[in-house]
Amino acid sequence: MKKKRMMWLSVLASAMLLTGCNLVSDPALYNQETVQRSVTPDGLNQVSTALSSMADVKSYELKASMQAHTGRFVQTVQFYGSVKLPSEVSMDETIGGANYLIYQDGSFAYEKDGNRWSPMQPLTALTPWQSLSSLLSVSPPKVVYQLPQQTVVSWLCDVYQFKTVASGTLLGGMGATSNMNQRTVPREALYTVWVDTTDGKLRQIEVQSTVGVPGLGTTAFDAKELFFGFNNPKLKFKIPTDLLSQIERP
Amino acid sequence: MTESTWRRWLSVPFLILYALWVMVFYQLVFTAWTLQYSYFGILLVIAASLLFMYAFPLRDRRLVVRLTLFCLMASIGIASFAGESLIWRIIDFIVFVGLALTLGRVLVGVRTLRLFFIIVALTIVQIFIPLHDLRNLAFFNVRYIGHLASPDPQVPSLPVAAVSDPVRPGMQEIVTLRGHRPIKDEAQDLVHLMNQNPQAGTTIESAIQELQHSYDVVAIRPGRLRFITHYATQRELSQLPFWSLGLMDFPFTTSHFLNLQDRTRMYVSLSADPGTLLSMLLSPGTVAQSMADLSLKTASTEAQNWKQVTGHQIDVTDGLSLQGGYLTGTYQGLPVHVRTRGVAILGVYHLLPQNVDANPQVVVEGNNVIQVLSLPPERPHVIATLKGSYLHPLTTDVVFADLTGKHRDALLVNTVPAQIFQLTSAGEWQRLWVSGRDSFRFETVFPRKGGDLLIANAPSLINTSPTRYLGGYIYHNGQLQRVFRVYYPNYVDLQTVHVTSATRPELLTSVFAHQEIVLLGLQRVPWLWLIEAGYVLAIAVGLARRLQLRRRVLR
Repeated sequence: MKKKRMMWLSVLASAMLLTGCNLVSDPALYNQETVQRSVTPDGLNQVSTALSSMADVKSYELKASMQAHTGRFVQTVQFYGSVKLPSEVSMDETIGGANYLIYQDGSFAYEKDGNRWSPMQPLTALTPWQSLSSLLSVSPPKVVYQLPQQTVVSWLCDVYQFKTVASGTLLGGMGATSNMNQRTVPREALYTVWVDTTDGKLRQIEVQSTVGVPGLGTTAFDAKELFFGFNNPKLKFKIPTDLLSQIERP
Repeated sequence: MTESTWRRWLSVPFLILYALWVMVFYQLVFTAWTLQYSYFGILLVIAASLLFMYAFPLRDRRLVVRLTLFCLMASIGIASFAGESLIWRIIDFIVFVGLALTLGRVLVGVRTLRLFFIIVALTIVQIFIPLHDLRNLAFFNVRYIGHLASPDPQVPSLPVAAVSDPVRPGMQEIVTLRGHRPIKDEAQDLVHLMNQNPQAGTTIESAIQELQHSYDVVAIRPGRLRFITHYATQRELSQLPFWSLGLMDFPFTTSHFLNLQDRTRMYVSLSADPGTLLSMLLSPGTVAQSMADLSLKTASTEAQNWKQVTGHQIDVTDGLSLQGGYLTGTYQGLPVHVRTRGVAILGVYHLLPQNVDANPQVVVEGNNVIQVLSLPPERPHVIATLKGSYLHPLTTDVVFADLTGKHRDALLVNTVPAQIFQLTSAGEWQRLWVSGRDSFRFETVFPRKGGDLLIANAPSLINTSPTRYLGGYIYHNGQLQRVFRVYYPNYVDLQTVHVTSATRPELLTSVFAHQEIVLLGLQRVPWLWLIEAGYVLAIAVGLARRLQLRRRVLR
C-alpha cells in the first residue's frame, strides 16, 4: 500500500514539476461585459434612428450564425450570402457540417440539400431591421445600456444592449415557411446592436436567449448577424446552373 | 569501456529501446513544453537538446545526434501514412523504408539491418497506439481506441455513453454509434418502416438520403484478447435517457430511432428546412421564440422516438421525476411532491455540510436556473437557487465534485468562463473560483481521498490560442493545482466509467472531428517519470563517457 502511495505521489510530483503553474481565480473576464456597460437614456432613440436609416437599403450581404448550447453540446448554423430587396436571396447555409443552398427570385424559391434542389416556400421577411423596429415599438425596453465602442471587421461601432420580450402581436410574424404558430410563452431576450459611427447604419445584431427543455435543461441561443455591402451595384443574382439544368430536365 | 564494448552496446535491443524512448520523449516532453509554454517552451527544447549534445564527447556526438534525429524523423514519417487507405499505406511504407534505410546507412552510420529493426519497432508500436495518442502516456494508458468512421459530416464527434454491462455485473460497457454499413434491401425496408411510423416525419424521397446519415447503435465491451463490438440491445439502451445519443446538432436536426431485426438504427433529419432557419434568423424580433419552439418540438419528438424504441421516456433519478412543474415520486420510502422551476434533474448530491443536513439534496435545472431541494419528510422545499444570465447562461453542463474530501459537493459550472460554486450552510452560493480563460471547461472528476481530481480541458498557459488540452487539477486554497497535462487537443464528452475495472476509474471520450472514441485508464507504470529518467540517464552516460575518454587521454 505504501509502495503504491509512493508511486502515485512520485508520479504527481514529477508531473507537477514538469507542467508547472497553478490556475488562480480570475473574475476579470466574467465581469468584463457588465462592468463596462452604462445606462444611456438616449439609447433607444439611437437604436431606432439606426433602424430607420436602413430604409434606403435595397440590397445587402449577410454573414450570420445561430448557435444553440445544450448540455455539453454547442451546435451552430452558419449563413453567408446576399439579399436583394424585395425578394431575391442567394444564401449558403451550413447545418452541422452539411452544406445547403437557398436561391430565391420572387416566388421562384429553391433550396439545395446534397445534390438536389427542392422547391421551398418563398421567404417574405427579408428586412431584419423592420422586425427589430416592430419589436421596439411593441415592447420598448425599460433600460438601454451602452458598451464601449467596438470595431466590427473595419467599422467602428457604437454598441447598445437591452432586454425585451416579444409580445403576442409579433408572434405570428415569423417566416412564411414556419408552421409553428402555437407559441404560447413570450421569450425575453438580450439584444446587442452595433451601429456604424460613420453612416449611422445598423451593422450587427446579436440576440441571446434561453429556454428550459424538459429532460434537457436549458438550451441557450445566440443568433448573430452582420450586415455589409449595402446597395452594391455590382451585386448580381444568377440562377445556379445545376438548378437550371435540374428544372429543365424532362 | 573499450571501443568494441561500446559498439556492442549498440546492439539491436538497445537501439530499439533507444528509438522508442526518442519517439515517446519527443511526444511527452518536447511537444508538451512547446504547447504549454509557447516560445519559452521552444527555448527549453533548444536548451535541453544542447545539454544532451554537450553531454556526449565529440567523437560520439555525431553518431548519437544523427541516430536520435533518424529515430525521431522515422517515427513522424510512419505516422504520416495513418490517414491513407490500406493500399496506399503499404505502398508508401515500402517506399519510405527504402529511402529511410538508404539515407540512414549513409548519414547515420549504423548498419542497415539495425536501422530496419528500428523502423519495424516504431511501426509496430504505432499500429497499437498512433503517434499522437502516445501523448496520453503522460498520465494514462490507452485501453481502447475505436475507429467508428462514417463519411457523414453531420457528426463532428460520436456521442458516447456507458451502461451497466448485463454480462459483467459491476462493470460497464460503452454505447456509441457506428457509421452504418449498407445491407441488402435495407432501403426498401426502411421506406416501409418510415411509412408505418408517422413520428418519423419523413418522406419516401428523403429515405434514401437519410440512409446516408444512418448509424447503428453499438455496444462495446472488453473480451479476452480485444474489445468486442455488438449491436446494442433494448435492455442496454433502456438504461439511457433519450438525449444521450440523440443530441447531434440539437435542435437543428432530429434523431430518429428504428428497431430493425437485430439492431437499433439511428438516423437524423433536419428539424426545420434551411429556408425556415433563414426566415427565423431574418426576424430578430421573434428569433428567441422560434428557436425556443424549435427546441421544444425537437426534444419532444426525440423523446417520443426514444420511447418507441426503448419504452423509456421520463427520466427517473433515485425514484424522483419532474412532471408538470413538480418534483414528484418516492424518496427513501416517503412520497415527494414539491413545486419547482426545474425541467431536468441534475442528480442527488451532498451540497450542504453534513452537520447541517445529513441527507443529500436534489439538484434540478430550469430555464437558466439551478435549484437545490432539500427533502426532509416533514417539509421538502427549495433551499437555494442559482440564476444564470443571458451573457453567462446555465446549462446542464455542470460537474459535481467533492473538492476537499469532506463528502460535500461543489458545482463546477461550465459557463463562459467556467466557475466553481459551493453552497454555504445558510443556503447562499459562494463562488470559489472563476477561470481567467473563456475556453477552460470542466469535464468530469476522478474520486480521490482528500479531494476529487478535476478533469478539465484547459488552454495552454502562455499561448493565447483557445485550443484546449486535457488536464487534471486539485482544488486547494482558491487555486487549481495542476496534477497532469495531456497535450491532446480534441477530447470531448469525457465521462468517468468502469469498463475494464470495477475499482479504478477510467476516462471515456470522443475525439472531435475524428469519429473515434478512446478509453483511457490510470497508469500502473509512470511512463512520464520513466521517460524523464531516461533523459537524465542519457546525460549521465554521456558525461561518464566524457570522463572516461579524458582519463584515457591523461594516461
